[in-house]
Amino acid sequence: MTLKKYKIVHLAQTPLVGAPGKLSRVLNQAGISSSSYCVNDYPNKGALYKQFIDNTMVLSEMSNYIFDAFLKDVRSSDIIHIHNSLHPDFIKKILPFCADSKFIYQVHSPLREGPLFVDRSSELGFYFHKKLVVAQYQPRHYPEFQCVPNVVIDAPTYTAREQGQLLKVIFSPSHTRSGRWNAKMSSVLGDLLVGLRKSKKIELFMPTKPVPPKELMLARGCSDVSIDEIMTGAYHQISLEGLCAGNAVINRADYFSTAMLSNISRAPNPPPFLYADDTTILDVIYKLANNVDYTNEVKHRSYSFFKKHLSPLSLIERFIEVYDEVS
Amino acid sequence: MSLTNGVRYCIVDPINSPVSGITKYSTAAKRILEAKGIKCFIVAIKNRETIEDFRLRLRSELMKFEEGSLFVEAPETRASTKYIPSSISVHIRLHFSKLLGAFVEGKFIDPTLFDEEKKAILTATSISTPSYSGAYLAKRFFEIKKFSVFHNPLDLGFTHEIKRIFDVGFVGRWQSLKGINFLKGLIGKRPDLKFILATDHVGKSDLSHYKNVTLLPPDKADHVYSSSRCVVVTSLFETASMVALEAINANVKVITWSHIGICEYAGAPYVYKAKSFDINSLSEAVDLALGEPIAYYRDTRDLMSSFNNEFVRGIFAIIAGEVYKSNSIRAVVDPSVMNPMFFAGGRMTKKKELTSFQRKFRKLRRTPILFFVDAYKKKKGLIVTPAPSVASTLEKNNTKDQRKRRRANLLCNIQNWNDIKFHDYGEKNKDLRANFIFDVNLYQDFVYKDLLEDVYAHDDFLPCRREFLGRGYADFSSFPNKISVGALMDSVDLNQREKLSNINILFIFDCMELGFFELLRFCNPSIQIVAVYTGLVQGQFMKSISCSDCLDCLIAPVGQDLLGKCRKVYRYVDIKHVNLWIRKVVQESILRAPNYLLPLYGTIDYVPELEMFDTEQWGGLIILKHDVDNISVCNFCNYLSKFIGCIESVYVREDVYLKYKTVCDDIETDDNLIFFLEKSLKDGFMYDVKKI
Repeated sequence: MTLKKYKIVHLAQTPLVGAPGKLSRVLNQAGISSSSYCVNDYPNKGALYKQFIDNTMVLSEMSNYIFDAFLKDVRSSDIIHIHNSLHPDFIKKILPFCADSKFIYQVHSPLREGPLFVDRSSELGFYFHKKLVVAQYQPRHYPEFQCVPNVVIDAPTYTAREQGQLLKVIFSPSHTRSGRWNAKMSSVLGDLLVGLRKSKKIELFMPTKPVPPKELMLARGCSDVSIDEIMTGAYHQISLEGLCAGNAVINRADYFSTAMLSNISRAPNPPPFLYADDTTILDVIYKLANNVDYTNEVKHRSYSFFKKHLSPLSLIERFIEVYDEVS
Repeated sequence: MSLTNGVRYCIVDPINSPVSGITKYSTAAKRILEAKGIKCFIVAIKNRETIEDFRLRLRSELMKFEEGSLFVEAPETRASTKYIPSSISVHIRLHFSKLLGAFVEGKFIDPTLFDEEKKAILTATSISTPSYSGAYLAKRFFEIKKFSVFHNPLDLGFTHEIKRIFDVGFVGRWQSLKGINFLKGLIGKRPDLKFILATDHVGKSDLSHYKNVTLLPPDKADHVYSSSRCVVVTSLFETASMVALEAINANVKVITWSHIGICEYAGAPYVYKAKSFDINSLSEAVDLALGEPIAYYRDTRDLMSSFNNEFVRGIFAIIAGEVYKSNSIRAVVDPSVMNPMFFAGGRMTKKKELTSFQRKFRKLRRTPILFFVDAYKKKKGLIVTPAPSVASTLEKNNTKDQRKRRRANLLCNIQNWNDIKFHDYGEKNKDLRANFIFDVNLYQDFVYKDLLEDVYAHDDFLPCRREFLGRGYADFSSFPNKISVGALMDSVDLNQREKLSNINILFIFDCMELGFFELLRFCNPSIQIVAVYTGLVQGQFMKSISCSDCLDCLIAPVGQDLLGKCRKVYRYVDIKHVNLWIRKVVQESILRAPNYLLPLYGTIDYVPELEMFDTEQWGGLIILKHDVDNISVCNFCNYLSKFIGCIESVYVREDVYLKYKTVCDDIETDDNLIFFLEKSLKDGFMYDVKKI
């Protein structure tokens, strides 16, 4: 693997559930010099504090000495990759150090609702050589932006469900906020899953508080079904992680959301998501719970789709294409 | 009488009171017509029956008869014939409407009732009046073309013992319409005459200090006729005056104003005329009447029978469909003498007075705490409430009301763009809530005022009603262009943004600032934003406005070029039509059930997916010919242009169609399909995509 000559710095206001950090880490694996910084971590009283900064450095917690090192890193970078948005005060701080750098903008959030509401790329004050959008549901909000994938860095696994074993289901919505695209929690789903557990149809893992992402991934490894949200028509990181863990993945991703995934991963087939909404979720789970062979078939399809099309090193090529173009 | 051909004649009595002239007329007419062989019956209003109930009952009673076999006569008062179908012939006898009486007295006139009476007269088959002066007066209010004139009838046969011990008699209700002021004037002026009055108890206190007056209850009118030598009719107006007829029948002389209808029937020695509204002349006429000998009883009876015969002749002519003008009635009065009535009392008054109870109840309703506090204080004697004049409280309360209403209706008044606040209308009826936003510097312009009045006129449609439709003002000229919309929006408090979710649709008038649309759109994505251009502000604005991604609809004059596509555009030729477009846009924005699936694009064939389609979940159904080639495309626009190449047909829900109407109506051309998919997906609609 030849080392590319450019150096990338990822900047974001918050850890963005680890996305820029993972990206940076995979770039390093691909032989590209990259580092990731976020200005603030999640609030330190919240459950997400310190959970998503494995591959990211938090600038607000740095001493001045280390912050100087960060500025040096910025100055030496060829490409500054900004995620979602940055506070104007922070931009003022780094602006003198990035005169020679080129800028790339990537958006992770929907329009018309939190946290961004508006297309912020124009108000950051940089000239962006490329504008990118995560290839989930977001491209329809930013139709002119180039699509790029989210990566899952864990190794794919597959554990078959044994005959006579209860179906193991994971449903762990990360928040209860509402919004056209931000909603995660359906009013029906929680009650329905609890009911199924009580009637001994499934074994359920539905934590009330957010679980550290690594533990959650571990739990997925020995589960059969990962339920993403079935409200909005989108798919999220959970679906990708579910595929990675060889789970049957249930979500409500519409045609265009799934098309974005197969498009970005260059897969000839759509990803093996199981489509469900509030009215059909029961049937979908029932079918899986009652049929072990079917469960294993779906699980294996997920595993092989991930292995074949979603491995981080193949997905990172999309970014490398962009960087090559810009530099 | 072969003329009547077995026709039944129905007389309607919407008053039904023994002292009423109309009731007396009805009974007399019935008896006289029956004596002449006409089958006749009276439909009278019942005690405690509302006029509306009576109208409906009248209709149902009349509908029992065969078509063509019935003729209905009704007075114009209270428009009792409102619901009678046009297949039944209606004869309106102008007895002088109560409304005209109210007008002459300067009292409140119910405009709806006035319209109803007007309409009843317009739709009548024939119209008759007891005198020419009655016709003159009615013509001032109603549109009357052809009318018959003939006498009012009277039941003959007066058998009371006659003992004429009083000089002057008066019969009638104690109200100004009956000319009591003139009567009081006469009583005061002539203490030498003995008066006998049959009137209601109201008159008692008024007349207690006159020694020359004897009072009788109103049902003792016959005593007046039998015991007085002459009777005065001082009414401001009468078409004929039933009192005068009864008096003549009892061989009592009648003294009245020269414009009263009875003067057209007869002269001395029966009727003595006085100069209209002149007490001196009235007094002289009384002297003249008292000085002359009374008529022979036989002559009187002949005169009365001739009146009744003329009446029957008139009714026969009416039934035959002719216009009959009795020869024995002549126009004797110059209509101009009636003018003083229109100057004296005749003023349109519309103010409705509140009773003390209504006022207190209103206070309890609006400020319950204050009500009880004041009631307590008053009981304790801590406050003395001066009796306020009704007019002053009315005025005060009215202005308070208006101020309150205006404030409640105002969505926003944005002058300082750093401090944007909205009014919360609450969740009730939020799907119907529409709101207008004007430029604060322009909102008083007549263009908007006229437009608003036009919109308010759609009061059959809740969102357009004056009390429901909200308004807001913003200073467009100081809109901060330099600040990014994102930063501006961050400065708006989340709670304020949330308030906008209780509005369904916002109309923004003559706003040139694209940023304002974006601001509203991002503050609340579910709100529908409509830009309306009235031409009040000139400029090349439209070109750029149409590029805005945040507009749901554009209402603009024809002729202006648009630069970009818009989801929905309505063009108008005349500013007067804008209110119709506004109503249409509001109607189209309201959620509809059931929500049908409409074919939009491509071949319209049956596909089984149509039956399985779930309107709750999907905005439409897209049928693909084949899968989209999976050659990597870099952005969503490119993807869509590849995608539409694979589309066989598209079906959309009705509400989706209405939202993108302009584009959908022309879907085959001009990349409209891509535009439609791009915008509707961005707006959050989802499509069921199936492959055949």
